[in-house]
Amino acid sequence: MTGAPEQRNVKLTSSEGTEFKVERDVAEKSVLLKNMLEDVGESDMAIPLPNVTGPILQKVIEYCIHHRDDPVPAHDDDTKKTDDIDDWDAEFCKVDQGTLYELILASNYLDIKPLLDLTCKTVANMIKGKSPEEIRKTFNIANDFTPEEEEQVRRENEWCEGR
Amino acid sequence: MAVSKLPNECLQGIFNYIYDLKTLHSVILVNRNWCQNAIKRLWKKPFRNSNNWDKQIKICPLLFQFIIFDKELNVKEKLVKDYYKKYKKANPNPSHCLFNYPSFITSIELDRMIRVASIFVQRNTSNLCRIPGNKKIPKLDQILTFVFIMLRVMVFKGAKIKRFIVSLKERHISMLLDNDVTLEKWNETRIKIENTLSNFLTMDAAKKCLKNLKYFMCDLLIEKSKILPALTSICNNLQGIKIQENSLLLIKDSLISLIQCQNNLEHLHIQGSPYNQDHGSNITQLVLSLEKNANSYKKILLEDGYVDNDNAFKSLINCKDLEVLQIKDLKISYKNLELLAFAEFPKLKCLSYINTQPKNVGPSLANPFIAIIKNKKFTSRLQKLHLVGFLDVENYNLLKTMAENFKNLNDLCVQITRKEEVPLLIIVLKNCLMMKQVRLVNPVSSYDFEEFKSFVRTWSAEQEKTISRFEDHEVHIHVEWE
Repeated sequence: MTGAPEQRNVKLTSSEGTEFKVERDVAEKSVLLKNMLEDVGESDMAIPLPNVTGPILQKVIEYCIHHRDDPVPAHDDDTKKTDDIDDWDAEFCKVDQGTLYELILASNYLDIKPLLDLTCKTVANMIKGKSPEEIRKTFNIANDFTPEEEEQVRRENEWCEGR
Repeated sequence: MAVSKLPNECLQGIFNYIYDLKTLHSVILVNRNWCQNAIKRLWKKPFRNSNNWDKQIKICPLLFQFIIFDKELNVKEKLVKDYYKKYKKANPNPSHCLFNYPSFITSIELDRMIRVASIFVQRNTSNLCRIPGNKKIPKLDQILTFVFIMLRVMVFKGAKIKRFIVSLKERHISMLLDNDVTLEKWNETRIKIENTLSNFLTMDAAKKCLKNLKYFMCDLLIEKSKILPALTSICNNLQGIKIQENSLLLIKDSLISLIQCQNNLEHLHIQGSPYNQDHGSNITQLVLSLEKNANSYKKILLEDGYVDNDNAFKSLINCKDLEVLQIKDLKISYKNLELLAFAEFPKLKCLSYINTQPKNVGPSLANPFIAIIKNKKFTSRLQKLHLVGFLDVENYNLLKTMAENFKNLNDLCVQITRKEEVPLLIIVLKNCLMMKQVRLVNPVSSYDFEEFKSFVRTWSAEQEKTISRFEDHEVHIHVEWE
């Protein structure tokens, strides 16, 4: 008789040294951790994640727990939609801009594609329909073009202006 | 943390979710970093549908500008040289572009390029047509010269083309022919377009830029006899091929060669002439040739043709990874359909069989699809089923078999020929709670669907499914749920 093996917890350490315990299937939502766990095998050693702070790791774990039973995402294609964010995900992304960028960085580093897609979509939706000046204002970006450069970019790309 | 701290790959990840050109245009004007990260996306597919041609045609002089600084492009066409003489006169100090824009292009769509070039020619009549010492150059030659130059600029500047769409919309033909649409003129145009493309495909730079082509489409109006062999010698990593052709028999050998030399062809769509299903529409050899790379196919669509071999579908049965099989307006023997009844298709999600009258089947014979639907090896997983367009065959038992076998359908299109079939359809709906779309066709228009319509409303309310579309066109009904 072979039953389902009991899940072992995986320990993760954030950049400040805070330790998080998560079930293995939750940790394996991250391709980086999945590969590490497969390479290292069973171990009680905590995996250090020096690029992720405690509060961000907490959010990432929250996401992975909620989506633990989701199927592995299908292969990438060119038809990426931005209007398919479900209510839970939309609520999850209601954070300040700094946290949103940290989540993008963390999901990119941990290789959690659905979370990276979600956070990128959320930022893309904040950009859509805005003028350059509105985008700069929304994201607090300084315009570092010289007037000549800006004019040249505009001129060389005016074929798509207003379309 | 500020957005400026995001690495380039993350910024590009964000911009990949922006499609509208207007927003992308805003993004490139935000600052240098955003410009560098979004410009490639903006230029990936520059020839798009547009309502603003005066803006869109500005892409032509911009691409031509690369000729001035790149001797390698070696433009000999007098038309372009003269155009440029005038351009230089008006712009005595031309500057380099900020980016190597043509290198970012990943898609060649002939129809759109022809449209842009046509309008460019129209708008620049004074610059192009009154060349001293020359008689007027026909409009078609002017357009194709500019299309060729744009293609040449792209490939010489290092574009890596993934999609090559060689199509021509009927409504744009008059543009090419200067409204002189005669058969003679049209034949001349076809040959000139083919020559332009085959000249392009013989260039080493073009071969290099198309080497990793993923998708190739060539439509009915394009002459293919030179294009297909040229592509066969260039690409072997195509993932998708779509060919529409009136005389499939004529291009059979070169098409089979192109198909068979691909290492990982997943999607294949072959379409013959919808008006002329004569000897030229025979696709038997094509279907049989699928045997060779059977393992790679995920999606096969066969449309408007006929198959005269009872065992042709054996090749399809060997396509173990097939997810979508769509057969439309195809004349085929009953025996081939019987073969499908024994197929395994462990990954099949979509089966579509439309407007096809199997040969040798009369009203007295059973519906040939019943055996297919009874094949539990794939029917229990099937998500999409379209079976319509056969008048003389038994429909009641087909629906009865569906009611017994399907659990996971989310898209169903069937015909209803009499009232007694509706309760069976209702059972299908009750069994398939994931249903998103149902289309019913009433080919004999003797039944008004009232019972079904009232059921759909009650059932949707019970299941808390919101109806997002309910179209009643008497002879067909279309219902969609959110």
